[in-house]
Parts: sequence; structure tokens; C-alpha cells
Amino acid sequence: MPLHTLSRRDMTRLLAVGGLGLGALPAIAGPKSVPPTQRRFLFVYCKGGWDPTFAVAPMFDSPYVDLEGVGYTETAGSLEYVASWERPAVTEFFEAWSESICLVHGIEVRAVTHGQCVQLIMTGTNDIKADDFASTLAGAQPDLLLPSLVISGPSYTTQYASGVIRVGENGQLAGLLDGSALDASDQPAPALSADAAAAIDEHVRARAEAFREAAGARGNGHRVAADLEASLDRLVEVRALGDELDLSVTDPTDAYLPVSERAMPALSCLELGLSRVAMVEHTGLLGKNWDSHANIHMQSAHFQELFSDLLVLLEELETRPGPAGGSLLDETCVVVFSEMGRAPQLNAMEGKDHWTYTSAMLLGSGVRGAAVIGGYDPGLIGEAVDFGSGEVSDTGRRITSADFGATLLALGDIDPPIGEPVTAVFED
Amino acid sequence: MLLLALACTTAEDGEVRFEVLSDARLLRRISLDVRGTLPNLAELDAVEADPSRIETYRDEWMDGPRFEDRMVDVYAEQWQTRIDLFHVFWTEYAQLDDDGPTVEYSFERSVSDEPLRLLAHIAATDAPWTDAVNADYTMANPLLEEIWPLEREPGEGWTEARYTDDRPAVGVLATNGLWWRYHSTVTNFNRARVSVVMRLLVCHDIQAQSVSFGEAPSLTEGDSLENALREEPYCVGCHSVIDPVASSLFGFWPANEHSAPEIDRYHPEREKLGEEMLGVTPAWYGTPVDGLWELGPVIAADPRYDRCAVESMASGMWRRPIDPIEDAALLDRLEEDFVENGRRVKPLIVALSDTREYRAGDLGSAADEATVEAAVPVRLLTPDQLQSALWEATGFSWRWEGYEQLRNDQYGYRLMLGGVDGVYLTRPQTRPGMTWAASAQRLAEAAAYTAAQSLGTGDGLLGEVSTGASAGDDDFDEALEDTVRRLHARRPDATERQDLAALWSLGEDPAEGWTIVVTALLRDPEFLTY
Repeated sequence: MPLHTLSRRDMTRLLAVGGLGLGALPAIAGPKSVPPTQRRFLFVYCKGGWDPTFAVAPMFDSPYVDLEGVGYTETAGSLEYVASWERPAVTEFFEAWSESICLVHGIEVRAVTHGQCVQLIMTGTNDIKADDFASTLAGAQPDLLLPSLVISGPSYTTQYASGVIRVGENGQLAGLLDGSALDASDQPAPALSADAAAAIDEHVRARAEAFREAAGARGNGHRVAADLEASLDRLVEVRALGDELDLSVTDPTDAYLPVSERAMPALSCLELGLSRVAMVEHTGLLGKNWDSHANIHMQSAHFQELFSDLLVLLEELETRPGPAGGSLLDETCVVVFSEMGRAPQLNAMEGKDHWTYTSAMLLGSGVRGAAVIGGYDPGLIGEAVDFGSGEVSDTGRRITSADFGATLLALGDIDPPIGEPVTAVFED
Repeated sequence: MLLLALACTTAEDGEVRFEVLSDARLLRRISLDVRGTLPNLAELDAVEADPSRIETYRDEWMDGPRFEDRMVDVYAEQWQTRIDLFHVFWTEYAQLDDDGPTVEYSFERSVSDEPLRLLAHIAATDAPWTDAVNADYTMANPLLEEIWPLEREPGEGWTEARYTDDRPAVGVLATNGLWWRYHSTVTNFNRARVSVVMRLLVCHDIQAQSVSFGEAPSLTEGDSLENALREEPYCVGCHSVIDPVASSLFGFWPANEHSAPEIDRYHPEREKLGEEMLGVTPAWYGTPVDGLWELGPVIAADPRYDRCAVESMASGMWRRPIDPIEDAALLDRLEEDFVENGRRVKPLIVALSDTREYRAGDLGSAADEATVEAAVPVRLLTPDQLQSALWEATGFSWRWEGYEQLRNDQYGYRLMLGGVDGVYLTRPQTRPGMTWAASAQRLAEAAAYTAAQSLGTGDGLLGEVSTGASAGDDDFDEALEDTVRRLHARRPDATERQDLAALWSLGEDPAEGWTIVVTALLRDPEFLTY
């Protein structure tokens, strides 16, 4: 049984047999690094706009921020976070991983609607033709088989479309690859014989080549034709992997499958060196989404779910080997983020509305651990930051979504087209 | 007159920028764009004999039964109401219980398609585009009639209908489908909806405006968001425009956005709540309106309304974003023509299909850098076009458990095949990827298998092909040529004929042989692009 088919429940059971709970795992030292060109990325996107003050940004000293009653500031290593008996997973996570965590506070996403904010946090710009940071990182390594694997969540790309692989909300790609998708139809069709399928592949590939030659060397026709050829080649190669590559979802009918299980195919692709980037969306407890305009207290449940998932994912990353020889965590930068924050004050529905400042959590390859970059003023406005030291500074400036993306691109050895990297994020 | 103007334009710069498609491929493009299907052999023959028939067919097709359905798909790409989950589930409606879980998809698409059907109906019936915001009816199918407060004209499928809950007659602005898709939270007070109305109807994307709460002094001092929106000059700049429109929408403001009775009914008693809750009287960009009933006519009279209709349709038919500077001169003429023609959609489509950019099959030798980067002479078929074209040509429609698999992402392949969902992807994919190729492969195999079942039956793609025809004989060659022409609108050369015949020979029987051949043809770039 491939390791990635172990569910979180299986993992818990296995650990229990060994007399260990996840919380008892030893704290992990900062990861060894790989050259930026070999660095991989796992994006965990929290859909709907999280409230950092529930977990990663203690604001109890502010007179302007309405806070829950049960949270309090706690310290793990040198990091302060928000603890609560309702969210034991947050505490477990910070205790286990504080030396690896880099919190980036006060990222400014200069918009107020979800669509615009997602576009900005993913691309740093309003340009609808822009490629997102994940696609760009993957696009630098086009020879990988599955450069950017989208398990779920948003993806914006124009020039790197051929390298963005969508798994499908319920793992549909697996059915497309092995042909079982043909049965999921009111008009089912039998699979073609292997010989016929291979002959068609060859014929179509030749036709694509002829199409490219006819399209010339420039413009949209050339781009379509070139991407078509690349896509067909990829498809044949991926299919040739057979059982080595399992993109199936453990239980595709479970709409609320934990991210820790849903993301396992992504870890496999990172581990096998097939992908440079993977994206998985976290929709909170029971898929309720983080957009808490009413009952902000749902954030507590969402963070408990998120950090439970992250505990499993980080453990997996640490125990799996990476393609360059270290652990997968040594080679992977984990980026946990949301498109916006929540307003400091409760609204009439006991919820919080959209806010243009948010936080992100990075850890893993290339990231300075036990670090806090930036901060918030008492009104929850992002503070100006010295990008070199990460300290709040009157002579610095606020971190924009473009700067955040530039930081990620620099971690991946890409010169950012916009924004300025926050170099304080980088490990020494 | 417009045609002359466009011809003049193309003579000046179009000819050097673009190479025009062959007549047959142009016919195919137009057919896919206005009716979502492929031209048949008789139509291809007619155009081959007389290229002027292209325009005749185009006009006939726009008056035909498939045009309205096609327009639904066209507007779906722009209005993006076809999401997979609304805030209210079908289970809220006891009337639908008897239909079982397979009604879920019908419910979702009925809701999402209500506004699209109205827009498409306006286009198909040659009504003025101003009806989009002025019509005193909507469109409904039996499912919507069963669950919503409306009376529907008799008939199958979608027919005109009128709500019975005293909502104003403002076309699409009075449809549940639009407001279910673009819902408002209780505390958002319709503001997000306003930005959608502005973007879709007058092409003003107010959301694209940069917003920094750190530049709003009162917010930095701990003031509440709601106060700041009303009093803080930094916020009022935009909200002085947004809030008066939001104020006019309070008949649709929900006290609970997750409650079916709350959101499927209009609430006339709440119409004046906006003034109280937002502190402003209803208005559209400074023009006062007495309420929602007056908003439609005022929007239709906005000078940007006509331009937006033209730009939106042009962007859809050229398959690229509009460049407000590069495209300005041509759009000016198109807009002028649109108004002269009574703001009807069909003449607009005719005019757009006459532009050299629409008819381009390749770049011209002297295409400038901007054209090289922006123009889209090679287009990928959308999932909607694949759905309708394959259904018509092969009899295959990928459905499962009630879901149209090319029109949903929960279980299906819409995004994977390059479509848009309005949430994670808001613009169609213009270049193929591996997921696209994998989806296209299985779609081709399934459609080819279905097509092969029609072999020799007298009906369908291969209905006229004799089961006795085999590679090398005249019947086979003729069938092969007809099939390639039907699917690609071109004739195969000798090498391709040989290759396809070799593929056919791999089948253990004629049906399997044709399954293999048609699969190859449906995966061919000449089929998947147009």
C-alpha cells in the first residue's frame, strides 16, 4: 500500500500503537536547505478570508479589536501565538514547529471583495492576464511532468497553462488517466485496446506536430500548438507511470474530506519529483468556508481543523524523502495563506467583515524559522516593515501582496517582475 | 453601411495583420459560435460551391432553434452564474423530494440559467438590449415554476414567466438567479451586488480600484467599518456611488441569506430600508431613482450601457480582452451600428462576425507586436461547444447521475476542459494543458463509441456508412472523407487517409474500427480548435 493512501485516522492509529500522540512529537530543528532552483512549494489556501487574530496574530493589547473570550497569548519557543482550549491543534502545532515557522503579518491586499483579493494575493496585480506565483514558480521548471499540481483552489495562468495540472474537486483526473471516467456516464463506453490507444496517441501527436508547423513560429496559433504537443507528451508520460502515480482521492464522495487526506497526491508528486508546486484549498470545518460575516467564532473551529491538517501534512513532509536527498520538508516551502483578513470589530451579526490586511505562515525550505515579520497597529492596520530585518520600522513600508509574491518567487530563484522580496523571510 | 466601414478598416490594416480562414473553416467557426454545432455536409457543400452562402447560413442559424441555447452559454461565460453550489440547497424544497438526488444538478442549473435564459431570449427574439434591464418578465422552466413564486407561460422547457411577489419589472435585475449567484450577506447590504451590476452592465469594474484601509484615517483610529464607509472621505469616494445603488436593491436584501423563503421572494416592504440602513437615497451614479423599478431604465440610458454590450460581445467573439485604446475606433463604429439597429444583438453578432479579427485564421505577414500578443486566430472549443457539438454530431452527451459533466466541476470536467466557473477561474483557458488533453481524450473516446453504434443505421454521424465498407474500397474512402469534413470542415490528404485507414484496421470489427478513427479525429487539433 503506498504511503500516501494512509489516512489521518490511519496515521493516528499507527502512532497510538507506538505509544505516541502527535503532540508528543519532538520539536523539529530548522530544515536543511536546498538550492532555490530545487525548492518546491506547497500552498495551502484558506478560502474566504481568515482572521489571524484567532491563531497567529495576538492582538489582546489593542482596544480596537474585538476578540473572542477564550483565547490568550501563548509562547512557543520565541513565537507568540493565540492559544485556546478550543483549538488544541494550534498549540500542538506551534509547540512542534515553532522553530520552523515564519509568520508574516500585515500583508496588504488592496481590495475588499473575494474575487479581487484572491487575484491579488495569488498574482500581486489586477492584470487578468497575469500568471499567479504558483504557476510562475512551476513555469521555471517546464520539464517536470506535473509542474504545478492544483488539488483544489484557484489558479490564474496564461503563459504557463500547459504546466498547470488540475486534479479535479473529487480527483477526477485519476479517472481520466486510468479510463474509469468512461464508466461514470449514462452512456458508458468500453476502454480501447492498449494497441489502439497507443496508435491513436501516436497519430494525434503527429497531427499536433503538423498543426504546429502550419501555425508558424509566433502568435496564439504557435502557442496553442506548442502547448498541445507538450500536453500530449505529458499525458503519455504520466500514464506510463501507472500505479506509481496515484492521484485518486481516498473517498471522492466525501465532500468534507480533510485537507490532510485530500493533499496526499500532492505530497506524492512532490516526493517523486514530478511537481514543483502543489496547491490545496482549505475550506474550514465541514467546508463551511472562512468567510465569517456572521458568528466569527466559526474561525475557532476552522483553525482547529486547519492546524490538525497541518500537523499531519508537516509530519508527512518530514518523514518522506525529497527528490534531492533530504526530507521532503527540507526541500519544500509550505505557504499557508488566505486572500484577506477580517475587520477588527464585530458587525451586527457577531461576525467580521472583510479587511485588507492579513497574515501568512511560511515554513520549511529556505524559510527563517522562529521569525515574525511585520505586525499590526492597534487598529489592525499593517505596519511598515524593514524588509531586511523584518522589524516594524517607520522607515520601511507595508508589505503588499506583490511583495509577498516576490518573496516566494525569490525563494524559488525567480526574479520577481513586480514587488520586492522581504528578505527577512529567508533563512541565513 | 457598417459593413462598408469595416471593409474599409480591414483594407487599411486588417489584411496585413490577419490571414482569413478558409470558407469551410469560417463556416464552422460561425456555426459553433451562433448555434454551438458543426456544419453538416450539405452546408459545407453549398459554401464550397458559393462562398456567399456563409452569410446566408449565419443569418438562418441565428433565426434557428439552437441560437437561444447557444446565447445562454455565451452569456454564462460572461455573467458566470453557473456555480455548483448556491447558499440554498434543493433539499430546502420539499416539492423536489420525489425527484431524488439526481435533481440536484437540475436545480443548480435551473437557478443559474434563469438570468442567462432571459438575456438569450432577448437576443433570440430580436428585442432591444435595453430589455435586459427593463423586461417585465423572466424565463422559467417547470422546476422553477414548482419552487418559486412565478407564473409561467405554458410550454415545454423554458418559457416566459412573471413573478407574483410584486417585484419590479427590471429584467435581469429582478431575477432570483442573478441574486442567488451574487448574494449579499446581511451586513454587506447589497454592496457586492452593485459592483457586479456595474461591471456587467456598464463595464465599470469598481472592484479593480485599489483599496487600502491604512489610508483611511478613521479606520486607523479604530472606527468601525460601517461608520467609515459613510463618513471617511477615503471610503466615501467610492461608496457615494456604490451605496445609493445598493439602497435601491433592498427588496432583495435577505435577513438570512441561507433561508429559502428569504431569498426566493422579493420583499417589497424592505424597499425603503436602504435609506435607513445605508443613510442614502437610491441613485445611479448621481442620478436619483425612486427605487429598483426606476433603476433599470436609468441604467439603460447610461451612455456606457450600449458600449458595454458591444464590448462584451466583441470580447466573447474575438476570444480576448478588449483593449480600450487599440480597439477604440472599431468599437466606436460597432456601437454606432448597434444603436442604429435598435440595440439588437443579432445585428451586432453579424457585424462582429464580419470583422477581419473574427475571421482570422492566422496572423498576417505584417502583424505588429501588439497583434501577435493579443489576437486569437486559433481558439479552443469551450466545454459548452464540445457538449452541444458532440451531442448533435455523435449523439453523445456526457451525463452522469443527472449531471452534465462538461458543465460542472463537482464531478465533471468543466474547468479541466478550459471552462470558467466564475469562482476559481473567471476567464476561459486559451491554451491546452495536460488536464485538458486528458479530458478531451476520454470525451473523444466516449463520443466516438456512441457514434460507432450508429454505423449503418441510416442515422447519425456514421449512419450512412455501410458495415461492409472496409479500408481500401471506395465506400470506405468516401465515408472517411465525409467524416473528416463533418468534424473538421476540411478534406483529408492522401497521407492522412492512409493513416486513418491503418487505424481503422486495428479494430476487431467495423464498429470498433470506426470508434478508433473517430476518436483520433475528435482528439485532432483541427477538431478541438476552431
